[in-house]
Amino acid sequence: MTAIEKAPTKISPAAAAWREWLAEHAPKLFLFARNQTRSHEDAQDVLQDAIVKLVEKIRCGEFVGGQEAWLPYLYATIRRLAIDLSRKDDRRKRREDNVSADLEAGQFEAFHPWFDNEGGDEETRSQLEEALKSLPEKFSEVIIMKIWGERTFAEIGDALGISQNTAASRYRYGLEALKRELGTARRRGDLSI
Amino acid sequence: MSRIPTITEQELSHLQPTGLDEDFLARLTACAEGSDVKLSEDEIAFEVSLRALRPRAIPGSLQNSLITALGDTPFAVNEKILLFHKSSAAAVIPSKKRKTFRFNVAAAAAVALLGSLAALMVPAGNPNSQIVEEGDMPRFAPAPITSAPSQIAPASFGSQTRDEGVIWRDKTQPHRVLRRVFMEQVMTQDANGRSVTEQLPRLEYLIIPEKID
Repeated sequence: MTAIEKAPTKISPAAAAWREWLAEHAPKLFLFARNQTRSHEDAQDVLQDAIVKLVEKIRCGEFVGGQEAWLPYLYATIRRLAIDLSRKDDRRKRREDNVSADLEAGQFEAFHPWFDNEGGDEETRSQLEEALKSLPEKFSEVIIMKIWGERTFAEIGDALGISQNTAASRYRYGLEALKRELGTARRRGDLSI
Repeated sequence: MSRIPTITEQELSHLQPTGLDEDFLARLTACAEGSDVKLSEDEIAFEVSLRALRPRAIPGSLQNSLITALGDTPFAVNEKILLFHKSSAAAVIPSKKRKTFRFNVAAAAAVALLGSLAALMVPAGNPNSQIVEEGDMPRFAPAPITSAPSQIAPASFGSQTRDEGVIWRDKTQPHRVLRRVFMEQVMTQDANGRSVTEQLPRLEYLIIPEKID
């Protein structure tokens, strides 16, 4: 036997816990970041920056609250960073007026769907994703945080700087708008939802 | 000089704001009742069907970047347990325990300091006095500092302890103060060589970290 069998790499309990935590929550946070930035690449930057800010606060002992406070902090930070990035991008776009770059970005997004399609039908995923992207951001962000982020209206309100009532109203309007968007396809029987 | 046309003002005052549409009125009513944050069965059913779609996993490169960014940051399981970046079974260390150990060292140092200060209060004998201890092994005692040299040597002691209450030396950790009075029995020799036994008090304060929840 020529191959050298490597012993399983030992990782620290903290590293293992972080990996597990990221495996559970990072996809949801990344979805939210993509919704906020509308860009695969920008979403990566924003998510990473948000995690780094969280880690720095934990290391310095400045973070208030336990593990349960991490997600609310991250959602709020992702949104803030995305807004900051958007302002910079607006200035850049006005300077460059580069339309072709936007088109390329749109094509890139088409090859990087927001959702998995394990066992579901591709038509449903595609229609829903398009409908979600076409919603005004103030509706889609609440829907994403509520359904896939599993946040309460109170937590969503805190992260977005609105009351929980407004969050609930936006959620309800967003769902209605999604239903309308998907209505035709559902009536045709194209969708499984 | 401008003049306000009064006729326009009168006309405006007759205009009435448009009434709220039914949907908005229902929304405000639900908000006032507190029922707007409760979802209907249809909405919950739609929500469940949407949740069946799962967000895509993050790219591997991003996953690696995040793990790198996490570095040696401890993972807080809960308020009392932190997971550290040590690959040993003893990696789960309650943070409070570490803190207590540090304060115990500080308390021991404080006790040692108080003990040494208290020793200065004991009158000293002849610098070259010979003390006979167990086993009749003679040795020379160091010369203690005292304001009134005399021929005094410690023989035995007893003590009384009293709780003086709790003090806060900083905002995070209370300390209990214990006052201990030692009655040391000393034996002296006068100029004629006669032995006299006396009792001298010695005071010590112990500062001990207090356990808090």
